[in-house]
Amino acid sequence: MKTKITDLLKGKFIYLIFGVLAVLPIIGLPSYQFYMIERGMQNALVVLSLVILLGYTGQLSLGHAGLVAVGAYSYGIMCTILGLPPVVALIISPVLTAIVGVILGFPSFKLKGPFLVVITIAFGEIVRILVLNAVDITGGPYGMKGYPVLFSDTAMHYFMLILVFLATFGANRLSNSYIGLAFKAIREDEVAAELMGVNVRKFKLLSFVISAFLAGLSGVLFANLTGYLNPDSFASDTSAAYLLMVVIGGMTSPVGAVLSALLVTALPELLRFLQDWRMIIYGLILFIYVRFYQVINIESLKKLFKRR
Amino acid sequence: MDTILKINQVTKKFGGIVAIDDLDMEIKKGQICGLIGPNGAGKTTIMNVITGVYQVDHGNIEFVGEDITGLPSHVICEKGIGRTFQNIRLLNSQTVFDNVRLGAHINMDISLLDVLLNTGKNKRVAADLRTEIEEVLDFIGLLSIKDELVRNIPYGQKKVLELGRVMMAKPKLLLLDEPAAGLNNEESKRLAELIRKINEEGISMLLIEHEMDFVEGLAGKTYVVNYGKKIAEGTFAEVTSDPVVISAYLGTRREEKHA
Repeated sequence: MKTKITDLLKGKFIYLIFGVLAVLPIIGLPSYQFYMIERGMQNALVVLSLVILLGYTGQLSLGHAGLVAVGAYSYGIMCTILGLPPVVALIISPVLTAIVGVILGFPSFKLKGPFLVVITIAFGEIVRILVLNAVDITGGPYGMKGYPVLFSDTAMHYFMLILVFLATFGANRLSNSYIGLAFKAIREDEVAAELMGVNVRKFKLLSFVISAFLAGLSGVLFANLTGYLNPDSFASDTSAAYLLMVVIGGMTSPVGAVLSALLVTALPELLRFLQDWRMIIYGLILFIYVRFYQVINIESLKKLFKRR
Repeated sequence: MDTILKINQVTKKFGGIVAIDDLDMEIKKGQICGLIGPNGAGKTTIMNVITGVYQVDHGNIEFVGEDITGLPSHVICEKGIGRTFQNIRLLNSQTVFDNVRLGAHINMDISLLDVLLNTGKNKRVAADLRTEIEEVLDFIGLLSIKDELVRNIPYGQKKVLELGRVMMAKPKLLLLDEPAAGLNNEESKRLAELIRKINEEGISMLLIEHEMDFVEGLAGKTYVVNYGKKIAEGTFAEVTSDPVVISAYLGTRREEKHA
């Protein structure tokens, strides 16, 4: 029997994606396209964070842009006003965001479905408005700039690649562990989970904390990529975009999340040539995709690689 | 024999409805205790009160000598009370194997870091757990379908799977809420056999069931409740010949009522 290339990739779809991402700087893309890939990777972290929170635990958040903002601004503030070295800020910011995630997690004890969504939207707006009005610290509507960045272009690319890779693996391991199973039990039947000995409140909070940590990390990367922070980048439509990405990625698949984040981030840019029609076609593509989601999704893609 | 569970003068009200009225109950160690009564008598409510789903309005519940009234459900589960549900509550989108794995949750002693780094401890625990789960699946006879999604397996197997899941938690007391409901004769017989085997391992049980043959074959002591009140207790033969119980199930004759 002849060995096919796909044989080597059996169940290793994840390596294909990361392999392609790893050779990108060598190919030498034009800087704007390269920037969009970087943004895709940065978004991938938020989408992974939603895979854990929404996909595994079933808690829908439309306030993740707020968490990303917390991560980004705390990095900026720590570097400028507090004068901490960027590496220290890189470590503290996600931890700080995780603590904020605890606060966001508390309403989930009593609220479900749409009611929890409203709370998370409110959270996102509160963060945005706080940032907008704390002009002395955040620069408010004028934005924040002049903070040091961690790495230069190519080094940053590989740094992000490593982080996304680790996060993808971590999410996978989490999914297969008893913690992931407890998350899924909460998603499917809270009462049954509780009666099987799952401390539902503790595990909900844990899910929010892990999710917020990843979102905060993504915020730090955002700050590094753009070199400029503005409250508009963290409006609620950004949260909706994250939700779109996690849904397209298949909700529970970490690999799907990464792929979806890369594609959905790049898509509007790939459609630039359509000029005025761009956003209409963009919407149409997403619409068609969601319509045929049952046929074309990450699971069927993975199977394609496994079967042959 | 020692007492494993003691319910002392428990009352539970929902608004104006008294679901459990001043109930006393006792389950001995190693015993299968039957709990029967007409529909809406408050049998499932008693289980919900024991497992902490509902808080009692009055009275207390002791489990192996310890007051467990008001504890959260997951703590009560950790203490060793497991239960199955009248309307099956399995994780439908997960496999048979993973559903049983959920039962082992309370015995898991691994940190998040162990999981993320996949440490030696994590690998060891996972391997041990796998063998243990396969033993349980073999015991309940579902090993051959361990990778099926629960939503695809037939009703009878779901009922048995719930039993397997709760077995993984290694409970001291098992509360079975109508385990035989909806099963055919053959399945019901096999289930009774399984329950007897579990009981022989020293696990005490409280069994709610409408199928009288099923209760008769298994239960030692039997309690009968109606409208939240205990109306009889004793062996199955005693309670089923009790006129109060017969009237609760079948009603009284017109002449008797007027007499």
